[in-house]
Amino acid sequence: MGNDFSQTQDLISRGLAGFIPELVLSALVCVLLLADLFIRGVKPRTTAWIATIGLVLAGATLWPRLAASGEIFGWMQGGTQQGLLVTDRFAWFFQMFCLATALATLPMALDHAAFRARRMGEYHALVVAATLGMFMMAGAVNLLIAWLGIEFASMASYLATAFDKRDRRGSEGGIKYVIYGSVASGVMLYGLSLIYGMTGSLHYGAIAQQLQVSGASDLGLMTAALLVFGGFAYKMAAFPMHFWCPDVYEGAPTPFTAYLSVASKAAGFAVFVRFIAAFTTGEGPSFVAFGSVPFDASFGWPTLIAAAAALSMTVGNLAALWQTNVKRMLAWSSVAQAGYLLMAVAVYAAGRGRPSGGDLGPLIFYFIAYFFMNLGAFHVVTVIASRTGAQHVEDFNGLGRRAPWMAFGLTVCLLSLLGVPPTGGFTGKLQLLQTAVENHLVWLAVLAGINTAISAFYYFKLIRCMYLHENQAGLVTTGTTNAVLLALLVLPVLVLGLAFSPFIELSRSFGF
Amino acid sequence: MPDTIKIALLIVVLPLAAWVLGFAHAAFRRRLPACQDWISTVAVGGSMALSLWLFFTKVLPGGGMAAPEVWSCRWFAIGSGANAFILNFDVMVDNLTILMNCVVTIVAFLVHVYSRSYMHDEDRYPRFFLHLSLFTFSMLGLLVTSNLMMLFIFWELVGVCSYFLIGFFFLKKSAGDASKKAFVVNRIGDAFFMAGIFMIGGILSKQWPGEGVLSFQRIWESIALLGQGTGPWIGHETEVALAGVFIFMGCVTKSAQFPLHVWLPDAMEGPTPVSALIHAATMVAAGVYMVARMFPLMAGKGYTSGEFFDSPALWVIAITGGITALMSGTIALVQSDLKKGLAYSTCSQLGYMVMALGVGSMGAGLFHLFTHAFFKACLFLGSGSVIHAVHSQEMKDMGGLKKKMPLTYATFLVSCLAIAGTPLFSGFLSKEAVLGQAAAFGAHHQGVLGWIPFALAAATAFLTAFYMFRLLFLTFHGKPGNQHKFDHAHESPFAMSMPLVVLAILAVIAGGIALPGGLDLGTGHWFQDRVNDKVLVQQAMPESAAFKDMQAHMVHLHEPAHGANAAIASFHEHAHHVHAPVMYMSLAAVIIGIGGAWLLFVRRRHIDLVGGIPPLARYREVLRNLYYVDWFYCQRVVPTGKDIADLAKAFDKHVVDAIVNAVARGGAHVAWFAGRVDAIVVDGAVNGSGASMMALGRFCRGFVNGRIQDYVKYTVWGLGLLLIWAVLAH
Repeated sequence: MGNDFSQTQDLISRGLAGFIPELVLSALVCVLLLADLFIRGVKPRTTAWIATIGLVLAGATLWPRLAASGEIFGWMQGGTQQGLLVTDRFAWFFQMFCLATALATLPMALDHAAFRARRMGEYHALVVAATLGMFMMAGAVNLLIAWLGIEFASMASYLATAFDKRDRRGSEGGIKYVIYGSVASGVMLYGLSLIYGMTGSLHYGAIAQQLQVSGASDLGLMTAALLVFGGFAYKMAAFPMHFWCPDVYEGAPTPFTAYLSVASKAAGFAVFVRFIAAFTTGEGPSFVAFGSVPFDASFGWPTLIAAAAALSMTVGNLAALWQTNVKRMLAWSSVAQAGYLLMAVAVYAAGRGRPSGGDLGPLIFYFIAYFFMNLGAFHVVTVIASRTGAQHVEDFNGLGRRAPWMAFGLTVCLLSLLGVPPTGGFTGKLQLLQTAVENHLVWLAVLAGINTAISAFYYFKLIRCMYLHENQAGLVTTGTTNAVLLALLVLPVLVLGLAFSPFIELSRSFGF
Repeated sequence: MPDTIKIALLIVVLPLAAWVLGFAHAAFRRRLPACQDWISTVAVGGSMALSLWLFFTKVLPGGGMAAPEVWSCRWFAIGSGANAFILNFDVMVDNLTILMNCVVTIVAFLVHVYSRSYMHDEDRYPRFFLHLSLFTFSMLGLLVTSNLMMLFIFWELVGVCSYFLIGFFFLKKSAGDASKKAFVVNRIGDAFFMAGIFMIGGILSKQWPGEGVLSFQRIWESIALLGQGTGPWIGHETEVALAGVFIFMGCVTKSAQFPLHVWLPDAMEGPTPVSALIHAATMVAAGVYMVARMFPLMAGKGYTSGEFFDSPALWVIAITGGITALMSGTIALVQSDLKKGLAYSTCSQLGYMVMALGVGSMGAGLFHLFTHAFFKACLFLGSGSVIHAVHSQEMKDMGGLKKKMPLTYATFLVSCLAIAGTPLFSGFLSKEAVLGQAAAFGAHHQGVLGWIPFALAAATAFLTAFYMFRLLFLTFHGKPGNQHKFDHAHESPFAMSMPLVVLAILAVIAGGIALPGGLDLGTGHWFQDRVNDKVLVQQAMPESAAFKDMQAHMVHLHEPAHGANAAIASFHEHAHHVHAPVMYMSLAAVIIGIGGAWLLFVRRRHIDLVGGIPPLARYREVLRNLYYVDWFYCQRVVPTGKDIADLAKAFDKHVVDAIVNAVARGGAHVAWFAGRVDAIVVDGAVNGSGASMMALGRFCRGFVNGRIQDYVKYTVWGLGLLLIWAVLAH
């Protein structure tokens, strides 16, 4: 008994040592809330600085984990180590990614019109809390932790969406988000409980091992897996759990929409990919070997993901055609982007067990490009919306003259989202299509090509408005911080399109 | 990276920095800096100082650089492994690069100085310097790079700068039209050029996968291997000539060769300093430079053995150059516009250079390029000085300006003497070299055909002296054509006359100090000893076995021909024999040309040739109409092009559109059907009329109707749909 106790104590203390970035983030949430409460007349700039310093600190403590590997908070069960979280390069990438998104959206929040002259500590605390949730999602190797991470990130997101209480659309979006989120959560929990019932474990490795030993009935397992997939799809904003996306993206404060569209999606993919990795061939992130026979993915994961990818991109692009609100249009665009990204996951799942397959490089690379192009687009929308108070497509008329640099930046980002060379989006999409074709998913690659053609319509609609339509409204002044942020977001898009070779290598190294 | 490379890159980057500075200022402050002229001038001045330093430390002492300095790094790879196509950043600095750098930076610097005075009262004055900086950067970049793709990029950059600057006075319709004409005509050659590059890249990369095959060295080596009967070109012998001709087409447009020379005279719509820099001294010479760099490719299989006088590509080049030289020379006879006259003279001289390359002498062609840059820039800037004084480009408004503008006159006279090929001037040496090579080529061929280039060149030599002195006499001698303008004419300020004087000095000494039997420099060989294919090409590849073998029995044309093979020896002997007669002949041409011009235009005061010699009057119309080349394009080529476009349009409308419409209609029907099926849930049935995609889009959007209850319902449906799909498809 005493031995057990000391073992547990040991486990927790060693776990906490590997958990420092998360602890920093937790502390940051508290500090931000307290700053709001106790510093009289605290300025948005002050809390933003606190948040910046805290996030940088978290990043600094996260850095050493690049070299770390292994599970933390683990215990021995049935002869294998079973942890809650894992630290590896893959987790590290997505954690860093979410951290960077939080950092990049900070200046946008400072610039956001509705946020001026408000106590912003609370908002930053919510963003940091969501980031904390995503940290857990990226590292989860236990179904319960995956679910908890999703919930944690979602809760903070609900609140941040409705942060501007005077804004009816924001409140409506928040409420819808809560309801839809809880449905998704319920669906996922149902799936989880079925899996737990069938396998008796929540740890990925143990589940996979159990499935191999006992063999679950195909349909039962498939139903359960599908329900769990629903929970992930909700975070990825992919079909069929994308319904919340347009309303929430439109209602949320634009800086938070930017955050949501990039970080939340990335975390969703991170948690999903790790789940898939465990449920296909069994060569999971940190599992003991399953013998020489790879686990047969008899419930057709690649097919399921490919179907979701196809429907996501098609539905997203087709619906975007009709949008007149730029934020709503970008919301649908992000559903379509989730489809392209899911294509990479389908290829990954299909390629597991093949010698050349199972490469996560294209997915990671596309995410790197997506970070810059989507945040760049949202940044311009934030700046323009907070200067002119407008977010409709016609309000962007003549922007090429009124704010040439902003228009140029937005154009580059849109072309990249569309996948036109020489941008990162092109290089990324090219890799996605290439690997799809190589892995016998030709039909999906063709569909993605058709979808790209469809999406050209609405991306170019905005570009055409900016350059070909007249607008007599005056110049839009943007300020130095915004210009610098724009440059930091747009230049990498071009770099990724021109000098991509080292980044392809780099993104390969983050897979597992 | 070797120091020489670093300096060369610094030379290139300085003008770019001036451009970036101005552009950034414009981006953030919404206007160009008022001191853009200073920024650009200082930047190009720095480049000039560095270029001259390289010249005096690397090129002049001890016979120049023995071998080029090269440096390269990977730009990108397409594909991976054995099939990869590699493109590198290749940089190479050799004698030719440094000499060309000097030409470009000296002329550019002087043009900058000149323009500060000449352009001062024009609108968009700072922008002019911004364009000049971009041009200088692009031109210098073109010279230091050593692979075809990079060269092509800079090639296009100088092209676009030329477009900007020809159309600098874009409010004037003729200027806008001229810039468009230059742009469009140049695209024709560039299309061929690109095709040539692709051919070379395609064929070489098949044999040498995973290497930067477009670098000059690789191309040269492939030709050397071809001479030995191995290498990537085996089985593609026809493509060697074809690629050579395609690449030469790039030169045809850039260097204004017949039949695509038509843009250059119109380009005189640009400001005169631009004409001097871009359309006389540097950019138009880029074509010649490029062909010289690709000389082994043009020479083809015979390059290694020296028996390349039957190479089809070289024949095309020689004949094109000769025709251009003579044709432009005759057109120049009847021009009444001073700058147009100079423009045709430029065409003609470029033809000379091209022809020299065609008859197999890289050294002579480039030597003429080198000397021509200075005196032609001087002539253009001199004409600018005159135009500045009389506010007209028409020679009927000029005349008698000798006394009013003594300095301009003196420099113009010096340059005219140089371009005519008078002894003691640089043009004499370079022209002599070209004529000598053409004559040796003819003698070597021992047939009538072989003498064609020389005949064209000799006739042009006479014409050059004649029409240049026509321009000089009509402008500076005789009675004033327009008394009012004459009275108001005055010598230009120091900022404009100083560049003229510097260029005039260079027009004398650029060929070396031209004393017969004098200094080592006095033979004109100082240039050709440093710039010839032995130094530039063969010694560039010390590790290549093909070249080692070749050097063993290859001699330089100016060395005694011992140990050489038969072809070289024969050519060498001929060159030796024809040298003296050619020199006397060209001296006679100069004397007759200048004397004839004096007789007709000073003594008899005719204004053009046909006025002076009545039997020639029937050719007046032909010359005035520029041999009907422009007319042919406008009346025949362009309408045919339009007819083809109309045909394509009709096809597009009646066939392609019909198919598209049918598909769209089909899609619309499908959408209509889908809309019917989902009529209960879709907000209003999708009607079948709209484009199918928009209809489908409305269908998709319809699910997101704002009601959260419905979202949940549809989500469950969606999950069900996925389940069914996954079950059925598995």
